[in-house]
Amino acid sequence: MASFALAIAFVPTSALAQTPTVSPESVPDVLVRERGTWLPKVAPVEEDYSRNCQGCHGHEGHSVQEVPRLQGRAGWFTHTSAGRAYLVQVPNVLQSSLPDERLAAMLNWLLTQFSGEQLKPGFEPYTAAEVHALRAQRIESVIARRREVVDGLVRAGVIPDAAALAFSLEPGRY
Amino acid sequence: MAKGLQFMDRFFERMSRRTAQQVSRRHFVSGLGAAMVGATFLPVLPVSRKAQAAEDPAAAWAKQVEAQTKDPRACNYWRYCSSDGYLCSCCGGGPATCPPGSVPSPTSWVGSCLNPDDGKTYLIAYRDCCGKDSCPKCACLGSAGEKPAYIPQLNNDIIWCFGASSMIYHCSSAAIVGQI
Repeated sequence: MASFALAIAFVPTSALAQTPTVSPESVPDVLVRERGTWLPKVAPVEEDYSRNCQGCHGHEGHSVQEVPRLQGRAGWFTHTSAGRAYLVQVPNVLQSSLPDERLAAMLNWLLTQFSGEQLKPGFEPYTAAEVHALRAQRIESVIARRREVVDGLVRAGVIPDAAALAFSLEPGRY
Repeated sequence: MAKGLQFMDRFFERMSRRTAQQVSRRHFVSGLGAAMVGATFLPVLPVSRKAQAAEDPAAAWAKQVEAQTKDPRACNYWRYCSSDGYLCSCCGGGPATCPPGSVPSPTSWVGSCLNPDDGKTYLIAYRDCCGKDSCPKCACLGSAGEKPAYIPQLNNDIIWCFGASSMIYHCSSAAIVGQI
């Protein structure tokens, strides 16, 4: 702390006036350097989720009410073939920059990671070929298709009612 | 031909013996020889060349601005390779903390920057602090790995206050997500 105070004393006063003083202790990089802490590596499949989905869906698969929650729900879609197709054909999945193989791996990862309990028993992981074929078909209206798929899941007895897979957690939307 | 080879053989033998006798083991020449032999094998070693790859925009940025890890109030602080806005570090917050009176947005976009200290690449969440008038200090314009606005999830020109209680932008923070 003494050396820090000394360093501050030599900073030109003009610089002091412009910038509020921040203790070097508050900069995590200093802690990392001095204490030798390190971060565990993010697996490539997790990195694909982080870069392409996490910003809105959250690092644990849930976020704000405007963004559909993955955690504890997404797996239900795998119970019907329409639902399985829908997960790949949602616009930002379909249009993702990820190649088919990585997209398939990422979907399998997020489904087991965030919604393993809701998966269809004996869930067969997506393959690159399946993802490729599904990506070739675009959904015209994502809201209408989602409603169809969710109604199908209700009829099949997978979920009790459409509210269980509402797009938004905000009541009364979509 | 054979004579020429014998001559060369003798020449190099004499030279290396003389070097071995006259030059101490810690001499510069012996070090240089080892370094030269080592240098031939160095490019073959299976090290990750991700950071050196010309197409990696994060590495290119780090090189161009001479990225550092000590001053989070400067635009060339390593985590700001894709930060477009006012630095929260200059507004009373930190590189990953919001200044008092503003709240972190629940949504962010995720990019990656190269840490010059350890040469590793880290995922960075660019999270705006919202709910307070904009803090016009330390405007930085990093754009490594950023995509055009029609790919909004990877764009940094838009205000990332989506989902926050207020859409008013205050400043930009850069939190580490993990090492890749």
